[in-house]
Amino acid sequence: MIRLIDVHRSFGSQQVLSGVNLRVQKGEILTIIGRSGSGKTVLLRLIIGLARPNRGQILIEGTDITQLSGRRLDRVRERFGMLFQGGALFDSMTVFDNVAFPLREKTDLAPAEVTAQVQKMLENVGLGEMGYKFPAELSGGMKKRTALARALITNPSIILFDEPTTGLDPILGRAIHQLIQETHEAFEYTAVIVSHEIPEVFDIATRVAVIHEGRILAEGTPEMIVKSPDPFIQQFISGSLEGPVRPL
Amino acid sequence: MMRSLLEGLGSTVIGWIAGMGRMLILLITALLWAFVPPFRLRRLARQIHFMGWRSLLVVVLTGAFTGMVLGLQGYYTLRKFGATAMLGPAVALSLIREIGPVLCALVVTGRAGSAMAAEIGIMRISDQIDALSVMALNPVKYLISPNILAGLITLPLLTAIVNVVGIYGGYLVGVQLLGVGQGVYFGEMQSILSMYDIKIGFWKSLSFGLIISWICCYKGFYTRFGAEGVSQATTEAVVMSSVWILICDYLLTSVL
Repeated sequence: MIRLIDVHRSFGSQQVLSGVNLRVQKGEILTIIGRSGSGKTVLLRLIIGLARPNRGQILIEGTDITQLSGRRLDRVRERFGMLFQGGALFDSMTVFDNVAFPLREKTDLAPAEVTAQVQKMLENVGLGEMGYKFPAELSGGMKKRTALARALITNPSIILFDEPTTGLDPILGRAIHQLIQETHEAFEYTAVIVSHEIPEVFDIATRVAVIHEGRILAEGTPEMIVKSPDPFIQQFISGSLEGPVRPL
Repeated sequence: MMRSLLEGLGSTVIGWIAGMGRMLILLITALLWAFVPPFRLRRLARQIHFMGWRSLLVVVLTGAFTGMVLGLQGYYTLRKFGATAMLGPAVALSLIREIGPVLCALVVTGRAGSAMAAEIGIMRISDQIDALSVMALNPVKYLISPNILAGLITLPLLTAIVNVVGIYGGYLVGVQLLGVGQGVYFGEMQSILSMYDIKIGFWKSLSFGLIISWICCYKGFYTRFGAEGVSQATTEAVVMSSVWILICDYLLTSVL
């Protein structure tokens, strides 16, 4: 469904991605893990066309989006939803209006139908009574759930999650993971999750890809990654200060 | 030493030219998108309300006191030449051709332009603009085009209000306070003021509306580096708009 072929990306003299090859299968939950600054978020931004690679191809259902712009790129983006790290909720709108926004802007649904769909979606994410609140009045977990509801409302076939549990306590973090799993089962989307939350994120991942030094170091099922003999992966999973990577 | 100095100078000049190119491209695309359906009339109305209605009080106060000062100063200056009968035309011409459009534009820059730059800047640093792109909505069409159209519509209307209020401010001081005849004040104004003077004021206010919305949107849209970036963008938007209003005022005065 998504395929990255020899993707390179640099910012000035800093080479962030240097030859990423990755395949995301339809319907799976692929989790990308790696150190801070390893290019995970850049990878998500490349997949959805918010940035362009310096070299390489990014195929979405066979279409190379690096060659697209304007409305042709928008048509590909209509298949996507994205949950940004900070939620990216429109702070001048209520929770209800944030979730309704894509429907009002991209569909011809009648207001009553929009209201019904949004209310149902808010109930799905446990925010049925919170529609009148503004983002500034919400807790971190509520913001993430609102952002998830907004990402799901147009029923996209692919959803990208940029560190969906960052800044949340472990209980809320687990609740968000559970919500992702439940909505994934209900809506059958393909998910790409960028996360630091190890090993918690392994509970919901179909496959895991490890990014290190601008490349995909390893990919496989969570069990395969946990058992990997690679010293970097072992150090990263255990969070040990001893190993090939010097933390500071 | 010399080489690094030249490199620094070169990169500054290139950055400056690239910035101007980005600004021009933003304006052209925003104007083109404004005429492509679907038309965002609700957002346009919201921006007109924000720039126009919510600036009205401060604009009326500016107009009133400017007119009163013009009436007072004009009266004492004209009295030296025995020409107090010309107070009405002096107040009206000063306001309509020059002071009205400039002061109104500077006030709107401070009140609405800064807020516009800050709002778009915060949307940029909190990924809200990227969220629009992800939803396959063009951020330039959604955010910038309505702001630029609102600037073009609002500034001439606000300037007209400043002019009318200012003329009545001058009337209050000149006629009611200092004793110039009411018929003289308005009669001379009517005979000396021409449609051409009003057209000059209109073109100036239209240009200033474009300058404010264009520069403030540009600065907000290309904000970087967090809260400090937003504060810097807002300051730059106000300073740059104000300077360009004054430069453009001189250029238009000399051309028109």
